[in-house]
Amino acid sequence: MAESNAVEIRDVVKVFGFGEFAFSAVDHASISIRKNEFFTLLGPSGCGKTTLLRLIAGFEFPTSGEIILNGEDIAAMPPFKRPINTVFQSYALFPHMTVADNIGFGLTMLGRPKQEVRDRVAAMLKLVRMEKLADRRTSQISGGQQQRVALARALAPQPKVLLLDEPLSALDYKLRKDMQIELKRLQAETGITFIFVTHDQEEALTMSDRIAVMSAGKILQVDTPRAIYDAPTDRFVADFIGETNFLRGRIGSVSGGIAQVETPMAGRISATLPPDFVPDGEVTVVLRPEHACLWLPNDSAPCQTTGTLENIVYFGTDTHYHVRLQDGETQFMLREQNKPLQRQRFSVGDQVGIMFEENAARVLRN
Amino acid sequence: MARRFSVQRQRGFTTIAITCFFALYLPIVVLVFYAFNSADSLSSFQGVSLRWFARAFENQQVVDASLRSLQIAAVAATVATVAATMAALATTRTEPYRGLTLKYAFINQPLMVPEIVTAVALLIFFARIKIWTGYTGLGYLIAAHTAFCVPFAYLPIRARLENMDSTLEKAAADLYATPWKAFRYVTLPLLWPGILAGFMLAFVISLDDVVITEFVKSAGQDTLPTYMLGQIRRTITPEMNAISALFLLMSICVVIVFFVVNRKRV
Amino acid sequence: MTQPGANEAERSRDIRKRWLLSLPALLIVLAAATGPLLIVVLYSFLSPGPYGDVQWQPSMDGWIGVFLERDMFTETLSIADAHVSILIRSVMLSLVTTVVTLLFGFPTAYFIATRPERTRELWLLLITIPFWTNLLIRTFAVLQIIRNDGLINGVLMKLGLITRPIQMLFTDGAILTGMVYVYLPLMVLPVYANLEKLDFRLVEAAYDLYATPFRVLTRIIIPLAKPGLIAGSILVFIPALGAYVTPSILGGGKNLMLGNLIELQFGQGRNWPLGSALSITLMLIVTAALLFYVRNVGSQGSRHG
Repeated sequence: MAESNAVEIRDVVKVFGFGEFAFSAVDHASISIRKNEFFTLLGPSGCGKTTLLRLIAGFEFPTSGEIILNGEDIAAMPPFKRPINTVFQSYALFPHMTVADNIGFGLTMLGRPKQEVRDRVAAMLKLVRMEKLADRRTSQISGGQQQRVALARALAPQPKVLLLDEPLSALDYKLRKDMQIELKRLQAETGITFIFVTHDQEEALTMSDRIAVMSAGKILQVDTPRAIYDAPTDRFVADFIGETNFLRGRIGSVSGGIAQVETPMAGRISATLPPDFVPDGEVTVVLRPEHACLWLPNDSAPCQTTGTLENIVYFGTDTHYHVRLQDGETQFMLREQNKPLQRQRFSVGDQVGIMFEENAARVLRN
Repeated sequence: MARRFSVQRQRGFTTIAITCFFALYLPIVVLVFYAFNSADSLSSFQGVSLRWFARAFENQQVVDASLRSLQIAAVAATVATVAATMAALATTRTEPYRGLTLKYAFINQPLMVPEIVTAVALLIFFARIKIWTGYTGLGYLIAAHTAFCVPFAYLPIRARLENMDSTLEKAAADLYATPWKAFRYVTLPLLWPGILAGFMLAFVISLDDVVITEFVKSAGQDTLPTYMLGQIRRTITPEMNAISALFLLMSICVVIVFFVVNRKRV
Repeated sequence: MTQPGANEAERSRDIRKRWLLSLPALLIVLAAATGPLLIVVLYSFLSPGPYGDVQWQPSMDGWIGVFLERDMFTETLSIADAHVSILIRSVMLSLVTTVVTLLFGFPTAYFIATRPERTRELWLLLITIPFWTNLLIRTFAVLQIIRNDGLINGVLMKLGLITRPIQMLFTDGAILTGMVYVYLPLMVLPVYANLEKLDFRLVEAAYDLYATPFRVLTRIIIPLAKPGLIAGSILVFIPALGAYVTPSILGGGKNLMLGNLIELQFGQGRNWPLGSALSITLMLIVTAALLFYVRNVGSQGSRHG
């Protein structure tokens, strides 16, 4: 089982500062990152994702815990001995060297023969489609090109693991979209494990095989993009990714992983429980806006609850409806995809019924 | 156990740096220490006393030389700072124009030539003028000091001006300020720390000068440094240490003021 | 304002105003620095007067005297050993001073640049104080340390390592020590100014790409700090070559450098043309060093970055 893991992070803690100023940037984090995986660390700025990346790279050392690579604890190993390379957010291209010298730097430092370095640099330039710019200074190429050089430089020594620290954040929207596809292609072609850090949930959802969501130094949930989106187990995860409705209620009965939750605003909701979770008293139920639909009262459908339509926001691809539920306090949001030449069925002030899709509601851990 | 890796660490650098700081300050500390020596010579330390400080203050030559140094430095630094401020205003925040590079070269020229060469040149030049005019006053020293103070005063003022946003004056002009009023109420207050830094740098450079003064001075025009140079070449008593200690104290005060003025950002 | 003619008139008025503003500074420098230098050039081609000064007779003797000497009796020319050896010693001592200050100054500047923000200012102040302190006083301080009854000999004798004081004063070693001491801050400050801007993410990137600490130093830090290292070297080399105070105090009048040799010609030597020619020689060496600097750093400064 351990053999299929590229990197294992075991109960890692990183504390900065001393005494009363001590601050845990990474707080008892444990993750197993599989071989050939595109793994993403996702979270807001200051959540510890970059610190965790720097711990793996070797620029920082954990206060406690282990970082296992190839069955060996590398937590205390300096970065120049780790078979791990990094694509820096600022690219960190050496300004006093050419593009080719930058790409060949790692191999030269490893003492590889000159001919091998030359061949490998040529192959890398081809891989990132930069053959023509080999002899340029790094200050003479565009941001997107610098990004490619940084990638080629980190891939050239064929590391076991490639770390990417928000590498796309400096690019404009269109270039970023292109590079997302490019990165997926490079990962597939090289078969190297990618550990990608970002605060951009869309980037994480579209590119990753698995995502770890972090907040305040803790790892909250590790799962596939679909599971993270559809089945968040944590309030922070549900809130950070996409838009969500939160409904508070009391546990009624539990059977087969499904809880009946009594809520003041929407009556009894059947919601799926997170694995290995024993609910107790008050819980929060979460439901994505597109996992519910609106009915007019005369549509005689089995409605979960009713309310007053307060606001309609048109978004092109879809329309958002804001409904004040019957308790008079909770605002519930729904999203419906727009169809061509659809007549508007609802108007503000309408009394409407809301139907939940089956198995869509979930109970959160906190 | 080997020390932990750190990105910034280079083996031995801290040791060398600490050694350098120690070596820089040890002679100065010893110098000051012996200024408080009660013995007649520097060969041994026999107890703490202020007698050599008292001796320095009673020494008319020292008092005269100190006053002369301050007088020259005050006049030279003031004139140099005014000229340098005007020159800085004339050479910054503009499209390059013909003669701009020449101006830079001229203003900074005293920095590019070894002091001894300037000293010799002034000796020759002023010797001629002394013969022609018969004037042998302090004017020569003041002129010489002013000239080599100009680039020192110019550098911080120019640096300050270059970091200043020229749209501020345009905004002032937009709000009906005449060019003079814009200068008086916008440029000058913002430039002030630079001017002060330039003045202090010029003042200290003038006060410290030995070589040019040594060559330009007429008989009886010793400044404190040239007086000290003359004494060091003869016999040395702790009186020299006492004078040096006072000089050092003044320099340190000026540096700290300079540091504070220069670090403040608008 | 929209007409190009009006714009041009305004611009030329602006330039005229700028010339007027810079006139005082230019006149001061011209009158009491640059102008007299031209007179030195003129004097180097005249004959010496009997009591100093010059006679208005063109002569190459001043320049010949820089490298050659005329035998008093036979009138034959031979290499002026004294002058040439002083010239060579001056250049050598200045070069060694530059190298030693570089070897000590670079790690010191690096040390300051890598301190945390709060303490960095303090270390910087500690290097700035000697920089601003009178060079004469600092030389005097070194004198007191290396005298026969100074601190070093005193400590060595107390420890019983020596029975008689070592003669350190009035040697080339004393001059070298003194010059390294007084010029070290001149090296540290420009190197620091450069290292302060060093992007340590580049250092991280090099470590990430398997460079050892030594390789990071030689392949990344030193190449990136090169403009500062060259600036510091020039700032030390130029005053060291023209040094007058330090060699005359620590060399004791026997171990001369170029600056003392020039002074001699205007004092006891009474050979102003020779002194002038020696001064111009010194200036030419300095100009060569400055040109080297402009070639190596000036071009990098204008590079797009």
